[in-house]
Amino acid sequence: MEKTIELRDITKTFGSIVANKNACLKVHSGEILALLGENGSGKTTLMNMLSGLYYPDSGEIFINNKEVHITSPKDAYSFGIGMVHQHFKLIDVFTASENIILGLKGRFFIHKKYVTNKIQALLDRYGFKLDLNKKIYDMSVSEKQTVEIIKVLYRGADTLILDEPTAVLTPQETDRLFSILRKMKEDGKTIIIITHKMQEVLSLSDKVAVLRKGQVVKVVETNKANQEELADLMVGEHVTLHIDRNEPINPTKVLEVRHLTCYNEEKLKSLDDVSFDCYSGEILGIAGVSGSGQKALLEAISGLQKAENGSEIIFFDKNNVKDNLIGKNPKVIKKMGVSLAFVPEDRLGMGLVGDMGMVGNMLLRSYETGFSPFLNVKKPTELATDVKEKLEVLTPSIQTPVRKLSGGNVQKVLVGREIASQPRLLLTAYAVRGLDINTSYTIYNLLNMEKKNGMAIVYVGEDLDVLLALTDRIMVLCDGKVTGIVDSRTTDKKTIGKLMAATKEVKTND
Amino acid sequence: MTEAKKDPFVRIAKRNDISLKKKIEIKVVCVLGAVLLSIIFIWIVSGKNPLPAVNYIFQGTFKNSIKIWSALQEMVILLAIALALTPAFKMRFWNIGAQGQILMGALMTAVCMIYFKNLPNLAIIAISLVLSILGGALYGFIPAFFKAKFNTNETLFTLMMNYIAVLIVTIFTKMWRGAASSLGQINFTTKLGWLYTIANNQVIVPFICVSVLVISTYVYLKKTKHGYEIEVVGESVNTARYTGINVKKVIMRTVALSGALCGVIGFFYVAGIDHTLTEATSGSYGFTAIIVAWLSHLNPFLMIFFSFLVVFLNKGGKNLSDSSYSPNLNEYSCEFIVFLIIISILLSEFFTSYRLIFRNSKPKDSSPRHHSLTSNLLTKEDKLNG
Repeated sequence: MEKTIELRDITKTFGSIVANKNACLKVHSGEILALLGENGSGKTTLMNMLSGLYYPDSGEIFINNKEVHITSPKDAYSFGIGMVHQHFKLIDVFTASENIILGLKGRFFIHKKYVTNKIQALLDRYGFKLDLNKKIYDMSVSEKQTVEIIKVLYRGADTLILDEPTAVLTPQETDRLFSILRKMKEDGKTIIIITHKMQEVLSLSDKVAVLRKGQVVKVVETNKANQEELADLMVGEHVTLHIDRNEPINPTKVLEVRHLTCYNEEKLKSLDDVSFDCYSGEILGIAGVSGSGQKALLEAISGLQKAENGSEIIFFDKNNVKDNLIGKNPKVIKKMGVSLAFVPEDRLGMGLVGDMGMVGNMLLRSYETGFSPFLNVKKPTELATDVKEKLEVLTPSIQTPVRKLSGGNVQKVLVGREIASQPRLLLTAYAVRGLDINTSYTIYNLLNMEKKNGMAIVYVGEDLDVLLALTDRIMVLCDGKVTGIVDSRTTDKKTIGKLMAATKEVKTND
Repeated sequence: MTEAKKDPFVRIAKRNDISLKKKIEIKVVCVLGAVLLSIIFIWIVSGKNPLPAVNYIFQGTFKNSIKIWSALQEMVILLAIALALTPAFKMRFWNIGAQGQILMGALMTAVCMIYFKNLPNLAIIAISLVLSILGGALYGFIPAFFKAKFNTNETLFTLMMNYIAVLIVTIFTKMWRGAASSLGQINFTTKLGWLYTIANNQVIVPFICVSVLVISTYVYLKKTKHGYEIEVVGESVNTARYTGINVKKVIMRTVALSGALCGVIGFFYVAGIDHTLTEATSGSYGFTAIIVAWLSHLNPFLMIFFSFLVVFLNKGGKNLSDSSYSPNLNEYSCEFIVFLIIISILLSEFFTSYRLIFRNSKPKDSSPRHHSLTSNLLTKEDKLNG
């Protein structure tokens, strides 16, 4: 049965923010459509209107040329539309099958065998692997994603919307997902996949719709598109996708980590016997599926996370004098004169104070200086003005709460402040997450410049292409263990992908 | 059925950043609406021309100089408590234990007045002040300590501390009064430990003190390193830790400060105003002050206005129920009116951030198309409506 979904002139605003403006889109059954656009270009908002989470301010939705009003996810399912959101909406203490049937009408008692058979049929049909009696909290991200997809299929959806499905997957898991999606397409299902990764678009989709500033700027056949052209469409001007990389200039050891072991709040090992070195003038990349211990690693070095006995974190200062950072909190580390800066993953929740302006945020690093009980805002004001000019931060004033700035500008404020102290060691976690292409390249260039000046940089990243192009060495983490440290210039994505899942393979063999 | 579905009947839309003028307009409309509702309420309940009732409400504060001074005194107390709560609230420490902290300060003062009778007057006052500060600070410190060390819930903790404070005060008053029905004014004949008055008016000294407190609270929160730490901890504990702020220390220090200020208020109650101690010494002002603090968005200067408003409404409502205007308007229906107006001010906060869009309304030209944010709640509402 042929089915078409059409969006006409959809507009949606949130306060003064225009998420979508006169967006038009058409998709047919048996097609994989990729929605490509930078963060904040309105991809997810547009799809949320199709799946019933939002209602458009204006514009119409047509299904098989008939106008429909979708006001809830239930409505969306009645039209066969289901969405897998980027942040999973599952109940941790329920099993897979309980999550799948959750919220559906049925008899008072659950007919378990009937349900299980029905779900199993779906799993077999598309080649998913899933233990239906496993609880969500025991699952890996990829298993959780499978549950979400099955949930949508079980509700009878023939149109599947996937929001950034590969963000949390290893390259191997991505390949598996893509082959499943192709099978679904052959089965006559419509697949809409939201992404900002160009390679994925090219390898999977039939058509690409490029969004920019809330509008669908162009729909092209994938086999007629190439990466440069798509990038230009996304950004709206010509961009060069090239990161310079220089050889490290006389590297000296800045950090020595040995046998670092940490436990998280649930008393599980977040880091397990991690050992590595950092050198000046070098960018060390950290790769791994999200939640493999990256956060704990950076927090342990900066004194925010307690390390177990036997761990060693040795910092070498300019004169090669050693300082042990184990058991020290950030304040003590600062007082010791250890020249260390940290750009955390959670920008507004950890690195900055959202309700304060740029000046207040610059103060975070220096408010304690001087003996007066009163704040001295002179230097922070100068620094804020400086960062605003040099990094081209778009803000009405340096007093405007940074919460009101866009993601890219927020990150510029944070990175600008951390680099301003000219640390010997700079730790960055997902420094370009959620940023548009131009800002991302601004950040890469900044890091490269500081590398040239002799800074040692730890770069935790998720985009393997960027990691391979930007860093000098890559350390791969999996379940808190180091599964390999490789030379970025000679390795490839496949090797890193294998290392990212190294301990998991062992586990399944047990 | 789904095919016939229309646009949702009403949607909530987030506003753009609106101008101060518009904000005030909305608030005024909300308050006028509430006043109108109150007048209709009075009219229905009493069955009389409601205008004289409005007059009674005004006279509650402005009838004569006695009423004015009395209203000013209550306003000073309410304002002081709201200011005392502000540092803790700024840190998102929901201290609802002002009542208990005030009672502790009051108790300390009473203890000094009763047991140090052979000291000179000034010494008694000085010792009372110091001990009431310590009493209030300690009483605030206890829940803060448990919050910092064991992450206990400060709201429940401070609430329970109120009950304990009431009981401690009851024990002492029972002990002191013996067989008498109440404690009576302490040192009534000698006036030992009584706070000095200016021109025989006991409001002026507290008034000057609270004026200083308004400014110093503002300076403390906005201009000092302590204030900065409080704001960072309130915004995000993680950011505070990241910066190297000792979160536990800041929590304990700030709440102890809050408690110390409450203790001083207790001192003023006993040494300056009541000259006696009962378990009802601070009344319900420890809680009403929370409303004042919130209405003012923790801005010390706005608190002046809102503490006046709350006192004005209270006094007006009381005057109306005491008057011969209508027997149906008892103190309960008058309190109803007071809270109707306060709630309408709180509600206006919603309308300054959001607006409602009805199905057939045309989008305004001034704004980019129309804004909407369909919440699940309203989609349900829509289903009820059609």
